Amino acid sequence: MTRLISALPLVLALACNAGSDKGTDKGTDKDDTDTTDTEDTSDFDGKTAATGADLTCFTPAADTTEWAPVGTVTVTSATVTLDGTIQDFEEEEPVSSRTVQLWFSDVAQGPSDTTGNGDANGKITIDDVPACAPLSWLAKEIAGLEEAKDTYKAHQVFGTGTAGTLKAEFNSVSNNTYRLIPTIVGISIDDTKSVIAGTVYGCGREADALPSDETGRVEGARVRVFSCPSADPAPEDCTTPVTNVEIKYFIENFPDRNQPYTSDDGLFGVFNVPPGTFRVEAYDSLDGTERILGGTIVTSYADSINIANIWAGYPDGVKYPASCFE
Amino acid sequence: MRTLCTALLLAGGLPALAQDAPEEAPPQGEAVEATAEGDAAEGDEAEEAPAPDDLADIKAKIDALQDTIASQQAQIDAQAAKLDEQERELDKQRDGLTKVRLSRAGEKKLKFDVTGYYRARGHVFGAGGVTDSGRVAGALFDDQPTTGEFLNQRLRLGFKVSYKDVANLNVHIQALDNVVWGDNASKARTALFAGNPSLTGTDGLEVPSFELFRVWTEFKIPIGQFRVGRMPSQWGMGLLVNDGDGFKNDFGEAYFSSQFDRILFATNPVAIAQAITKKEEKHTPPVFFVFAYDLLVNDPLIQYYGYRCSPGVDQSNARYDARCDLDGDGITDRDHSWTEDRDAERRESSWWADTRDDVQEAVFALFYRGQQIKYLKGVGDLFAGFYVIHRWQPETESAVTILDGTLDASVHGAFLQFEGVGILGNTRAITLPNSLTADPLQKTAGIASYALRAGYGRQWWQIVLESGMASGDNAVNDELFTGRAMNPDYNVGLLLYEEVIKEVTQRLWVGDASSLRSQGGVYNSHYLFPRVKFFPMNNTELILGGVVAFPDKPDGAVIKCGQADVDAGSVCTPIADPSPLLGWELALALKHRFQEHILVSFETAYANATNRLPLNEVGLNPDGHFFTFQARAAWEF
Repeated sequence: MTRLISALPLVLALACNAGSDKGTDKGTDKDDTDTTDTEDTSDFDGKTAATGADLTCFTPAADTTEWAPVGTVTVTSATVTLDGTIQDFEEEEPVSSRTVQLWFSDVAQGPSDTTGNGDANGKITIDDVPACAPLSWLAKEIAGLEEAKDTYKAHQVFGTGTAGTLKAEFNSVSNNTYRLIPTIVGISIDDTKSVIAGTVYGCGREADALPSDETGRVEGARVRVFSCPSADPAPEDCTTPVTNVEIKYFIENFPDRNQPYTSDDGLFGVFNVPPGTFRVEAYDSLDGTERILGGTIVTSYADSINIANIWAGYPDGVKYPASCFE
Repeated sequence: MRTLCTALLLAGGLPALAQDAPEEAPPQGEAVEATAEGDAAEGDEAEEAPAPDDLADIKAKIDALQDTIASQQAQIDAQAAKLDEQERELDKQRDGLTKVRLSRAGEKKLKFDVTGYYRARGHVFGAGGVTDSGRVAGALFDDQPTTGEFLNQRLRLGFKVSYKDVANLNVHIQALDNVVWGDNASKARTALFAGNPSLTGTDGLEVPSFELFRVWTEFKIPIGQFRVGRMPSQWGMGLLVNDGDGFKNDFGEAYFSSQFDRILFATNPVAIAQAITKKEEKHTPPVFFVFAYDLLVNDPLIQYYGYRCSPGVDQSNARYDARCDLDGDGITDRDHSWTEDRDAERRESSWWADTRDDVQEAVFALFYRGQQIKYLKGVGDLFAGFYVIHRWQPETESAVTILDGTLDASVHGAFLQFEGVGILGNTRAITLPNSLTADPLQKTAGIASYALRAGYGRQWWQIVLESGMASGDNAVNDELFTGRAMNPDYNVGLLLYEEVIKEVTQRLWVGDASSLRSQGGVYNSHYLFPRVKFFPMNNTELILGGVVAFPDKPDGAVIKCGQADVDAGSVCTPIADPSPLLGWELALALKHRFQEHILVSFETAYANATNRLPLNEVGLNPDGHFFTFQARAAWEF
């Protein structure tokens, strides 16, 4: 008899967004459409509207979508000091020997704009980080440890915080987790490719809620991947379906090879994604018709994990905290 | 008594010491008779009347005789005194002899015996010669620029104290257990100055230099034998439990071992029946029944819950669980997964008191063991038996039954060996949740494995054919749990299972799922393992073997799927042109024993792994060609 296996809280929760103060959406219109829908949708198994999901911030459509109003960001030049913690994605415990690099352009390429080193308790402080602007970060282990994979997160928007300081969390995915999740769902991971993982959120989710906050996760969504023609594309430019990747969903934060759409944890994983820029879209069957819920633009880096949350009503994965509108 | 002894001694009966006195009666009787005859002769001579002169002469003679008698009497008295002294001396010697006998008897009742072995084994992976990819030909790893080499070792000693052959105390220790040669822990800050080897195991972690890993006592009672303690377990061919002792494998080493904390009772039920019925038979069949109780876990360090809790879930949410609501305010406040790691320091003093989390098992075995018996018109050995284990853990609602049947028959130079294992039952202990059942932890075990080996040989050669299987699992987190590797100490070949597939599973089943690794055992596959053995001398063995392995239930990750697997129900993405094989291997071994105790073995193998194994993805040599050379030197006694 195989020895008992302890729980694997493999939260590909890749709600791995750093948190800031709470807020609500406001804004002006920003329309976009995405008509990409080339896959057979017959295996939705009659799943109807995203269970319990709040989709009131926009009007899902069959072939076009009236996206949620983004609003006017009124905070344009503020900076914050991030009072952060680097934690293991699976164990949700602080980890040492990690650095965090930030790219203020929201493109994790070239030299980073700022870097912080975590201490022995995973604590990290990074000064002068732009607030209310999407940026990308990379949690990386100190060279030679071979404990963790490079963990990228794009479209992170920090709020203004309190007195210029903001609590933040940076998840680092261990090598073990990176290997184990695809193994459980029956996928051989190719180290020349990457994993994209994230959570589908509904409208009611605060943009800067902490990953442990389970509110607003969308059940019943399916994910598709489209390749983009450039590194900085408009969402509607990404129209070529990517078929040679494997998409899996989770049950109770645990990967499951049989789950055909997001469960109530909202989690998805896309495995063996080649390097490049892609748009990941979430769909749901509403009133018997498949509708797009939202999308996000992701740059895939080989042998890494790339976190990409999808916000219902938003075409590019960028959602601002409420404090950015105050 | 003393007078009697004196008489006996006078009669020349010195060998007759006290213990033997009754048997020396005849010499005494002879002496008495001889004296009577002498008296009678003297009486005949006295019947003639003598003359007066003659009377004087007679008187003088009588006086002389009296003097003689007196003199002799004095001598006799002196001799008697001397004999008394000798007898006292003999008593002293007798006492000393008794003490010596008692002390020697004590030595025989308490015997001391030592068994064990030390072995050192060298491993070389790669055939040399760097390929265009910068990797040495036949390398094990993708990024291996040179032949990989290491040596490791193990010392095992078994001490046995026996009392009168009715009670034994066994103590087994092991030291330097698979410790790799050299200082691999930078005990010398500058490696070049290293001089004191470390205790680094083959997994790169430090190991204890010394381990007392088995201690048990065994004693006989009128109806059988008891064993109590931490003891080795070996059954059949070793597919299920394998003590890992000695050198039982044709290729490779046993790197592990099975032992249990166990109370065991063994008896011969036929002998008991004969005793009860008082029916005496000339021969009692060697049929044995064994019952054992094992306590496998008293308290798991990993706390099991069997349900998950997330804080902040209110009663309106379907995910609300009252068990997670400590204060009963309708909102959950506990936060844990199915299980929760904890440190030993967090245990309360009553940690051992709760038996609901104990893992226990009852073992029943019934077997026949005939040695040099007559059957099939020949004389040979025959072992056949069944082994049943029932394992349970109330906390996880686990109730699992393991069935194991085995046969080992040899006669007319041929042999047949078999072991089949089935594991059935239900459990909620394996926290790999699935989406297809209402209870995500509910799993039904359906595991099978077997090995069948047949052979025939003569003085100089032997042919062995073997096939076997270890069932796999094409979805480890669904409700059916069907995969389990064979015991890693049961070696099939030297390279394909022992190294290549072991590395694949080691690199994919990581972290908390590491218990799903093969560790070198047959994994999720069927195999053929024919061998030819030559014995050019009675202490030399040459073995040529081959292994061909076929996938059982590909899961898409450890063993890649073909379209046929998908059609058969596996949920995985098929690869193009999947090979029907996992791989194959050719192995050669030369073994020699000299001075009775010294074993030397040289072994080499070439293996070819197919596209069913994710070699590239896990960092193994992607061309699938592997080579090893290994050598062992051992002392066994």
